[in-house]
Amino acid sequence: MENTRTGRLPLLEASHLKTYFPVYGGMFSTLQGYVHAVDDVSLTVYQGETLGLVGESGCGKSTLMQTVMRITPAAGGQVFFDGRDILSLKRRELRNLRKEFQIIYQDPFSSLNPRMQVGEIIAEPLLVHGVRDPAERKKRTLQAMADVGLEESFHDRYPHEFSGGQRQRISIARALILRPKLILCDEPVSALDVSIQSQILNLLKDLRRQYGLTYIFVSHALNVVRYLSDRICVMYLGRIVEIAETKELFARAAHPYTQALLSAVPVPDPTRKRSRVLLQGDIASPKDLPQGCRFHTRCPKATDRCRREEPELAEIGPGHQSACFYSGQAEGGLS
Amino acid sequence: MKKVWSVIAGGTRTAKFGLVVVAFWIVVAVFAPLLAPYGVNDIDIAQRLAPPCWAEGGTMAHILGTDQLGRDVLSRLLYGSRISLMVGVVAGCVGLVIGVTLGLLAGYFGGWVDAVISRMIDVMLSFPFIFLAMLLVAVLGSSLVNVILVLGITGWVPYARTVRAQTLSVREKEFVKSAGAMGCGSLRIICKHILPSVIDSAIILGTMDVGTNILSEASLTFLGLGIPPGIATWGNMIATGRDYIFTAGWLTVIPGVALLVGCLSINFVGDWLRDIRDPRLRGVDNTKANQNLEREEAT
Repeated sequence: MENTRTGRLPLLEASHLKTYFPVYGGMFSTLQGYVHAVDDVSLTVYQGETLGLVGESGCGKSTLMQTVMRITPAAGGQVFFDGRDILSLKRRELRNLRKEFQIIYQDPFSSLNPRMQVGEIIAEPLLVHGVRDPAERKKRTLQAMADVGLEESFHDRYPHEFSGGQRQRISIARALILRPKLILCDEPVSALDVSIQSQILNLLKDLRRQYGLTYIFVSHALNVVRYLSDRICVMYLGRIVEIAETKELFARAAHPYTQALLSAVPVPDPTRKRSRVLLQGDIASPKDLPQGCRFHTRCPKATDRCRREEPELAEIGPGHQSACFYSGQAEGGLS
Repeated sequence: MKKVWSVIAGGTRTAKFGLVVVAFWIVVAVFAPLLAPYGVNDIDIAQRLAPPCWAEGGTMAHILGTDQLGRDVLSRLLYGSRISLMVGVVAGCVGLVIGVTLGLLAGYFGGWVDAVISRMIDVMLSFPFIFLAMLLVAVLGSSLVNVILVLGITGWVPYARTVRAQTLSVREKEFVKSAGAMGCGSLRIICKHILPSVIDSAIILGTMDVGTNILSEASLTFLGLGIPPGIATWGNMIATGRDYIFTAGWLTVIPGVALLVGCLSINFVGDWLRDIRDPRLRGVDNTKANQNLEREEAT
């Protein structure tokens, strides 16, 4: 897809992926329509890179992740992981493949079973994937705990005894223990204090180097994504509107939505003057999509063409794609 | 062993009371023949309806008095504890196992599994208990084992409903979803991740069911569907003492009190079990921990 990246192997390839949720309503609970949570998304993740996925709440980031992992069924499209079509795998093959990709969840308070000890929680993937020897499990558990900076003495304690940051470390250790190729981070720091956020981000960075991991990093906070990602992918209403390398995106955002997002990132300097792009109106309903470009209802640059036709993702620079008719003549992002 | 003692010592006052009483009744049930001053069916017609020793005209020969056939109430109470406790607890367990299993299946799998089990629940709820019990006894015949089975088979509905509802909510928690994403099979998710979170309310329900079962056994026996007459049970004693409630009140009051205290104690033990099973409540001051827990669950 991206000729600038030849030589790097794609690890995960999704093409024309769709996830629709049926909506029932009315007196007889009849089918009223579908929520287009993920609508025709194609995306490639290369080995060893970190892909950031940003967008506002409800744009389909998490649903996309769940569809890719086949936790939520897809309505159409294909997902190739390491050359294998995930969506057509049999149950047993899928279970086997699950050790290659793991998730870190957003809320460290609900993602750990309160009735299991920390050691049990971290070792569970091993148990599920057939590591029968208890001594071997214990050894690898302690190794994983050391990797994420948890003391050995935490092994027999329960999750409620820990703070959010420590719980997130437990989550990371659990995701790491099978040495997966890909880790999906579903807003792993957004439930944490700012001071803890940076610790966790640095931990993820170190682990990536140590184990050669590939991340898909989902977040609504651009500065968090920027810190970790090689490439960033911006979603709006179930579609990708722009993909570019991190530097390129921050320097030359082409899509009006990306520009608006970037201008909303807080800058820790009260004296600096910024030109804010303020969006008007509400996000359109994913059940009842507007005709034409799905962003035109809020876009400051919308024209008649945008109201009629829907723009496709188009290459506008090396490795830079945008879904806007006018992105080619963009005035160079924010200067 | 030391650990067990420290856990018991850390329990609340009601928990200790419950444990002591339950332990007492277990000892009594096991050693009834050694403890009872008379045989369970020894009739002494000359001494019929003798009041208990503290009442006017009572003697130490029959500490808790005698019934209308001159049988010693204390002896019958001790022997009765064997059948009553067994029926109450075992029937409760049968109902609990059936109900929890069906509730978990319905809540976890949903779809047609849930539809079938929920309709079964509706049918059971609309069926009168006595009618169903008569039907089952007519088919199975009347014996102690069958009474236990009948009570278990008719008693699973509340467990199934509670567990199903809780499973529906626990299933949506992230730790359950993450278990699926990590590759756990359904059986492991149900047993390891969902069951420990939903079993507590079933245990509480079960401890409350014990008393109901003991009395239901009495009503079955009263109708001639339960345990063959002549065998002493608490429910049986209460039921037959009813005819003499104004002239010889102790015939109902004494087994009644035994039943009340026994059931209350089992309830206390149930509460205690729930508390020690929750790691968040272990080794901390209970009221404080409960407040924290409520706050955590509210957020």
